[in-house]
Amino acid sequence: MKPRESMCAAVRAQLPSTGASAELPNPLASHAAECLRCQAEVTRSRRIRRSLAELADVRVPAPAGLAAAVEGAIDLPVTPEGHRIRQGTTVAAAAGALAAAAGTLVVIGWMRARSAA
Amino acid sequence: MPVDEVRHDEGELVARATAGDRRAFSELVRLHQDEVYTLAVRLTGDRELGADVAQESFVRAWRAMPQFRSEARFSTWMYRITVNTAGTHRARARRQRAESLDQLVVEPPDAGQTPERAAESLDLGMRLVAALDSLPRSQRMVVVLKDVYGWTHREIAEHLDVSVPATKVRLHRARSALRSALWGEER
Repeated sequence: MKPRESMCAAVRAQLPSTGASAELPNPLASHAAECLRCQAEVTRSRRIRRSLAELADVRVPAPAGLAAAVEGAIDLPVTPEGHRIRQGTTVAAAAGALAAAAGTLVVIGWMRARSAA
Repeated sequence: MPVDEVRHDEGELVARATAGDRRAFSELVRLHQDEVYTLAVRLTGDRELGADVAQESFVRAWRAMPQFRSEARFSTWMYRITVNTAGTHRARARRQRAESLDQLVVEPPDAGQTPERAAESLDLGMRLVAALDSLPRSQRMVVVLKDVYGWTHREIAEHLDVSVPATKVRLHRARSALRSALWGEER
């Protein structure tokens, strides 16, 4: 490996261990200042660090039932919100079952009518 | 509501919860569930597993409330419990990469950015989250705590029950893996 290439390899090896701004120690910093390839690597490292830091401000909203589940786990009577979630689920399930039954009846009726014809 | 007022209210809730008031604790859960869940999802790389970790963390917190020291911030305390819970929670089978992309909630682009720059940033953010989720759990936890949440190596080592040099090695590997995942192996 040529001296220049070995310096580039050393820069790549060192970058994951650098601080938040990906500052290299000398003589790697001096090399990177002259080497476009290494400058690109430093830029990539900084972009990754910046993007990771930005993730701290990106919230993933908790699922709707999390608080109710915690309340249930600590033996707290389920809150009205929890009841609403459960009631909503029950109503949706009942409506789905009714719709399925009605659909089945329609299909059976259609098949009977067709076989009679 | 001003921030000081919120903190004052939270202080009251914490005091009541410490004294055994379940409803006060429930209010604290509602105030902090998003941030705890976000941390849990980042640490586990899995939305469903993150929900389990968040729930278990709040239950552990409830049991430990009598030991809570009022000089600490409740959110900081919850973060530590969440990290400990995630560290001990049994890992589930990794889901599809598409699911990890689906779970990303990205803030609106900066108004000062050009559309091209905003799209590039969004693309990098999505690929980064997918790459994070694909890391081995031990590496992901270290890079999330260090580079996303700004913990020190000592804090990470204490909470993950590993040595400081071990956290540095894991961080190095995690960052190298992220770089390779985003831009490919350097030839």
